[in-house]
Amino acid sequence: MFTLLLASLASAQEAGFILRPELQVDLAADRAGEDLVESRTWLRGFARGDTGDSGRWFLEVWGEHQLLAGDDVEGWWDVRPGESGWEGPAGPFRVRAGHLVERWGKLDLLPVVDVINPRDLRNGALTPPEFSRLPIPMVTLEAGSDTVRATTILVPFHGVDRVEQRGTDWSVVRQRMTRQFGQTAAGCTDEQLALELDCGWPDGASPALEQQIVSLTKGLDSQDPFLRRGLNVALSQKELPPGVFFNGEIAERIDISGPGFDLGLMGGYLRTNQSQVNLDGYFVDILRNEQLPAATDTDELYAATEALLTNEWPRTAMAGLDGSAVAGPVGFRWEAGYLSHKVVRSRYLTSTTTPSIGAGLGVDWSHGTSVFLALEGRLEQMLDAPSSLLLMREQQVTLATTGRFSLARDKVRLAYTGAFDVTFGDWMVRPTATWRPTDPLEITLGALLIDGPVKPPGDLLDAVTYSGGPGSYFGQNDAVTFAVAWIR
Amino acid sequence: MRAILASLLLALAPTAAAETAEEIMDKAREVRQVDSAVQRVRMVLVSKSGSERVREMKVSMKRGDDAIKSLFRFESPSDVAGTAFLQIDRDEGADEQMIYMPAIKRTNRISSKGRKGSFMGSDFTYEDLDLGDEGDAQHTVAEDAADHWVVDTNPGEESTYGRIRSHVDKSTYLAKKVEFFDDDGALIKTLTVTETTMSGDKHVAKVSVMKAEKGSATRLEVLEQRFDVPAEELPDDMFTQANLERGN
Repeated sequence: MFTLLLASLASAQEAGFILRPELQVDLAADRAGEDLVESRTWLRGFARGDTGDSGRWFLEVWGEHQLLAGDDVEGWWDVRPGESGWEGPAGPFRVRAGHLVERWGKLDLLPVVDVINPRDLRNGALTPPEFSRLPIPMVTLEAGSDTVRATTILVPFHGVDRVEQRGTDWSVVRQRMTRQFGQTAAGCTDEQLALELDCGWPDGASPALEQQIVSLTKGLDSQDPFLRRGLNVALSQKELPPGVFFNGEIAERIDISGPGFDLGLMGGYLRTNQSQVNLDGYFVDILRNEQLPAATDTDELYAATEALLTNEWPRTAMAGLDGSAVAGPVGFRWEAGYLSHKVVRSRYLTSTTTPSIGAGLGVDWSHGTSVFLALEGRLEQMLDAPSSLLLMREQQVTLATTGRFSLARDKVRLAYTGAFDVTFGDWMVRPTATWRPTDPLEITLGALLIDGPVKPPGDLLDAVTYSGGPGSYFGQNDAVTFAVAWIR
Repeated sequence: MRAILASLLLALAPTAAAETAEEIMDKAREVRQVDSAVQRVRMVLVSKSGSERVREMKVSMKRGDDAIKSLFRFESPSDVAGTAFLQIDRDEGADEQMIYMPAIKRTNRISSKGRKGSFMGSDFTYEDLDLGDEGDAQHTVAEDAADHWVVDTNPGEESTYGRIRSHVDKSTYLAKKVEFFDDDGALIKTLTVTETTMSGDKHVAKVSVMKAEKGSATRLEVLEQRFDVPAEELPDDMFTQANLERGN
């Protein structure tokens, strides 16, 4: 991929790259097994050029290196295409084709209708904004005038959110949770687990099953990070519909613009970016009771194992609107949307879908490019919510704010992002201070403070029955960050 | 007086007798007017200590039936590449300014109050980019020297500035020096054309410097420029929010 990028430079009118290693240090060791030191290095290389006839090509490569140091040290590289493709006129249309991002909505911090591209959720609040939307194969056809235009969006191959399901600070199943669960269920001590000894199975349980559970627990606990991530990817994409056109997505957007305002109307027949995952009821009972099945339950166990974890990727109809305008010294942004099938998580690793609506409003104030302040609010309402939601509520209200201050001719930038979940009482603040001593070098010192009123989950059972919100759940992920960017 | 593009698009006109301040300023504005232009510009931000930061941008401008439209698109450095600024100066009705930020893929509309702030860390403000009608500006001739006029402009209540003093060359109608004062009469910054060049039959500024009294400066160097660009190269839909977000 980098070779392709380098080869394209000869004909590029514009090219560059940004290499940004960031060290993230958790100063409070408040949970056994957490990664206290992490480094994430982001690389973005790009080239662009004209193809004649008002068209242009663009190529972007994303590279990422992550290093996590906790119980053990893990590190890996990941290189993938960024936004790449061709854009230009074709008959009556303006066409974009390639690996693209199509942003909908006007809210930066609390999106409602930004549903086309999947998200990178692996690093929680520490993912840089430019890497948060994942480009996917897409074709857009745009036609119309300066004031009214329609855009058709075709997504032939469905994309899915990137989530680390297990084994990191930002995953739902944290480090050591599966080990603790297996150990508790099988009644093993650390030593017994390490040596895969007979742990003294609970009354009436199957010795063969015990051995399997012990081996599985140990295996999951000691997985190589590559294997763990591979398993995460396999699980997160399990039962994904084949990449054929009738499984693709289609959406339409109409934009109307006039003096001082713009308005967008949109609709689509999409597939959700998160799966509707369900753990078999037999295993839900095991989780709920923290007790392994008896030896006599073998048939039921094997039957349940066949459908242990099912993934569905439901279709959803979507309709929405967004817009922005200025009035006096402030800018207003808004968006509202409806989803016929929003995937919602319930306790014990089950999920379902519900119709839902959401609306958000943002207010900006800026002074040139030196000062930018914004406040956003969002209301989300599920119309047919299940009774035991996990990390979300039937009605949820969230407020967020961001500010950027540029000093000394952009040599110093102070910025913050904050969010407060009114429903759960969670909050998050991310302040940063950036110094740009020279054009190619930028140094950023920052922090992430995150907390909520509910204690973070201590074990797997806590995790799958958690009553708090995301801020509480990830409340142990406070960190100090230090980044150095090389910009060319 | 509008600074940035004015300084970039200065053009030579035949000498003409001009007596009143309004006539002088109309003529100065007239000679820098072009129907369309494409430029590549280097913007050098010079700090008080002398350290420099460099940004390059492509500027496209077109005069339509009812508005002057201009598009600034930053090409380097990489962290601002793709940042684009669209300005529509309408003959009638409210002007529009919006900026596209590629990192978040969103366009921000800029309120009239927000136009008084710095543009991309430079000594220019959004207001300085405005090419449109000067509205209720009032001009008076402060000095009639042998080779230039000194014209004081009261830009009106909406402006950041209390007074703008232009030194207009009598032979070219170039405003070779423009001083900007605040409401209390204190000098804020000075724009000086330090180098000119010929482009076709036009006499244009090649290098101009905006020097702020606080010690910083912004130097604009025109790297390439073409005037009267063919219409198909600057279609109307180039100056739209949609195109801003496409990155052309």
